[in-house]
Amino acid sequence: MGERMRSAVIKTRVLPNLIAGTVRSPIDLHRVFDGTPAGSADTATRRALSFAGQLLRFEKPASPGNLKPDPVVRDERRILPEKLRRPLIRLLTTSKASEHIVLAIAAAMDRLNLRLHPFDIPKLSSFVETWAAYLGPSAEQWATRQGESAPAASSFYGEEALDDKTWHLAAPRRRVQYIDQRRREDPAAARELVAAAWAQQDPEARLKLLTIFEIGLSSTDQGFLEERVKDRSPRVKALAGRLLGRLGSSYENPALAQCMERIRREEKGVLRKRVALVLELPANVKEHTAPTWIRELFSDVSWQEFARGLQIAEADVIEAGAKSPDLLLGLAWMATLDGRFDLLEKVCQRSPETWERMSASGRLDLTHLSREKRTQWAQSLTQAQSAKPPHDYVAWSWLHTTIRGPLPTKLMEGMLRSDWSAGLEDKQKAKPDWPELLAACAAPELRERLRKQLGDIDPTLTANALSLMEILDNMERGSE
Amino acid sequence: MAFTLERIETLAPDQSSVDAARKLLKPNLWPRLATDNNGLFWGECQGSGATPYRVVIAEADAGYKCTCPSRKFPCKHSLALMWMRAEGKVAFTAEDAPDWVRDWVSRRRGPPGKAATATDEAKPKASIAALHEQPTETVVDPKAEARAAVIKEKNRAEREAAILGGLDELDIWLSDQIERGMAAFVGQCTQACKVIAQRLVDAKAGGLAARIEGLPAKLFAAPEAQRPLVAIEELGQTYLIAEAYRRQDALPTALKMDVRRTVGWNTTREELLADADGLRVTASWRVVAVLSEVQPDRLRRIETWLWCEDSKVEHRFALLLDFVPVASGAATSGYGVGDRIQAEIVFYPSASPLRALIASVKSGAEAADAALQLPDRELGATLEAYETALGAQPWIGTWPIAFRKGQVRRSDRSLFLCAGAGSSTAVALPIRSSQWEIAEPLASLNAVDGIGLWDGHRLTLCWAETELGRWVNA
Repeated sequence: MGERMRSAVIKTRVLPNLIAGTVRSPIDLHRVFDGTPAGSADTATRRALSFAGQLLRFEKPASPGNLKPDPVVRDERRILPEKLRRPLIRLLTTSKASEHIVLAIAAAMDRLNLRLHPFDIPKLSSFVETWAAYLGPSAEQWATRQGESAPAASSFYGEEALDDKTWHLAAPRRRVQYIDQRRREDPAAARELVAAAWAQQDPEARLKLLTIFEIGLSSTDQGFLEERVKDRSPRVKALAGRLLGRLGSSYENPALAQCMERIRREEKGVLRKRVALVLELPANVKEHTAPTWIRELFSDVSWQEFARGLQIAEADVIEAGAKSPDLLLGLAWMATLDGRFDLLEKVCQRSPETWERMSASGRLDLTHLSREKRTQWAQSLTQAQSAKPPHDYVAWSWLHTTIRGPLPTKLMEGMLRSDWSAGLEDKQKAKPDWPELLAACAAPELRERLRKQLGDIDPTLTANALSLMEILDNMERGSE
Repeated sequence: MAFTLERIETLAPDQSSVDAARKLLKPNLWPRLATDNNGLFWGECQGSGATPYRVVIAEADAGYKCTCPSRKFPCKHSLALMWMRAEGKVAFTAEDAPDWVRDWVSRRRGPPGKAATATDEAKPKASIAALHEQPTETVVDPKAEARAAVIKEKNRAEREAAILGGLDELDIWLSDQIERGMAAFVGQCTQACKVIAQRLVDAKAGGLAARIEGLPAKLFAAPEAQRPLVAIEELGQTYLIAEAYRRQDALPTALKMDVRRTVGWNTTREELLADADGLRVTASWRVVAVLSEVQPDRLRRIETWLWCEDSKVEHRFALLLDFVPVASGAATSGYGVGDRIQAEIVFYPSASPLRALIASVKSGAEAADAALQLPDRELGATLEAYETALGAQPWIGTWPIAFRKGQVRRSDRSLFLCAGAGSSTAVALPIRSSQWEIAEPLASLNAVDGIGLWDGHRLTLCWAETELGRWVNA
């Protein structure tokens, strides 16, 4: 064999010695080279090293044996059109787009039943992780997969694939959607489904599921709600109490008692006595903390039980609190949470700045309501100011984050008529906040008008806004 | 190469440069915007100083030059000019290129495209003084030439001797490591490699020194249990290169050139272009990958991998290498993945030709959507071709492979590229861990045709044609 070596010899007689070191375990060069090797022992050893290295280079990597494909997720949504993929990735990754742009994209994809191209999901990982519930089953699966192992498909179903046996396995948002639909069809059956799966739900899911009981609420739900009043989660407990309050049960809502302690009742008028209600804030509640305090006070009380507690008709409550702006704010919260948007509109007519004051108390989650209902709520809230809307970025931002879709047309028209862009470029640190927010809020029919207005502004402030509107237009066009 | 917003974003060193360029899109900031209607665009941009910055860009290969003092490349002025060209909203006046533009064109080393060849006839002067010089015939002094040749030969001989001396020291160092054992070497490889690398630099064997300096990074990238074996592989190859260098006169010319380049001898661009016997391929090429990596010497190594669309060509892959200072911020070549170039490529002489230069561009790069027509060869057969190349040049590094009917499959967290169902060979190439997330969508597909870079241990997937469309590593 001369100086040629067999691979078996290298593996057994050379590699172990090279790893351990030839000082400790010398290589038997005579045996390895089948005779006396040419040159010195050092040269022969280096040659053995070289042969061993070459052998390893030609070795194919071992196959692990348990190779499997990833499960295919059933996702009936349409994949985003090809021409939108790059602009979308650019907008969501490199352009420092505001949260409103990101929200508008996610909400539009949900509304138009679109999904990301599977190859783009890893590129948009932070977007997908935040908005998975809006992006369809495949995005949800990707967002919830465990890094240590292969993703599981068994917990994810297309919306039409859920039934009474599998609904509790779906992602939280889809669970809520399913129960919402069942509650509208058959309230009793929905209640039984929720009761059976209650113990497996986390507090957030329990809260969302309980919120659905506002649909078709009746005395048959009383037993179920009385159980929920003992829930571990304070928010669930409070919501159950509020629902029981609406049923007029004997349950004594502690939130109502707290509320009543702060209401001063007077009778005014000379010829005809009428009730006047005033909300008295504690001395340690300052003006800037008042909206939050009022929200906390009224959030767990329903309009009905509040009226009952004061022994006045539900319709007379607004008139009675008309002179107390703080009470009107509290009433606005109760009307919002009870879904009584007719009452909310009346409150806002009395107190047009309700929108700004509500926005000062932090985020509001109305995702349990349908898109139409949310828009209706926004209309009721902003109706009084739609002709001349306030240029308050926080209020607009809050409204868009809450309704997660285009704002009411009248309100947007009012804004576009105003000089909203005045001074936008004059500031020392001009920001693209307003253009991006308005682009996210504009309904499709108003985008062209907004686009024209943005054309007069510094392009560095409008690039993302214009790009967003272009993407949304194309998404909608493709879905027609 | 038509400029597009995507390409400009790829070229930009960072997002703030893009934002800054956007602010320069106003035509009133550009007193002059012109073109030669042959792929060259130039302009003057009013900056904060009294004199406007002069900016020129070449569409053929995304070349650029600006007189501003920015350390970012391309600077915001170059990006803005590209952007204006891409948008097409601003009119460029058609006129002859001024001297400063022609000067830049004549001095640049980029691929001579249409723009460059057009100006070849009237080579610009590098300075105003030079403009007044009368062309004079070059006087050849035979004695001076002979003296220069002698000095050159002396230098070469001295360097050969120095390298051989360095290789002898390398032998001693290798024997020391073998005596100590590879398990121990892994533990102190950083210091050990640094010492011998410095000795090899002193011995003017820069290529070999860089190879050894990069060894610790390779070792630590491997799983811990595999590191002694990787050390054997790498040190064994190092010895092989040293031995081959000593016996280079007995080697075939191409392999000899490989050995000399690996050790540290350079083939200059001019020598390569002047080599009439060099392997040249004129065809349509697609850019299938652009990779960049920062080297220990603070240079960024940018690899542009090309695939030849002509199925009759034997060597269908070519690698363009660029080195740029890390401080410049440039992280990509002028080409984007998917681009198509009609060009003449000249390969460096090699037993396994791969590294190449663009000798001439017939038409600038254009983004192309067409699927690659890959040869009907499964993964097993592709690996056999890799082994053939390895046999021809045993120290090849990363090698491109093109395959059909592959499958990406998972084992725990890891992804592997396997031969498709029905294949006679059970091959599973581990995919680089940095690609696990981005390649995850491929793991649920039935079959992929594609291109990857195989280094003997890990595969970098570059391109895949799938039922869901094209997947690229970008």
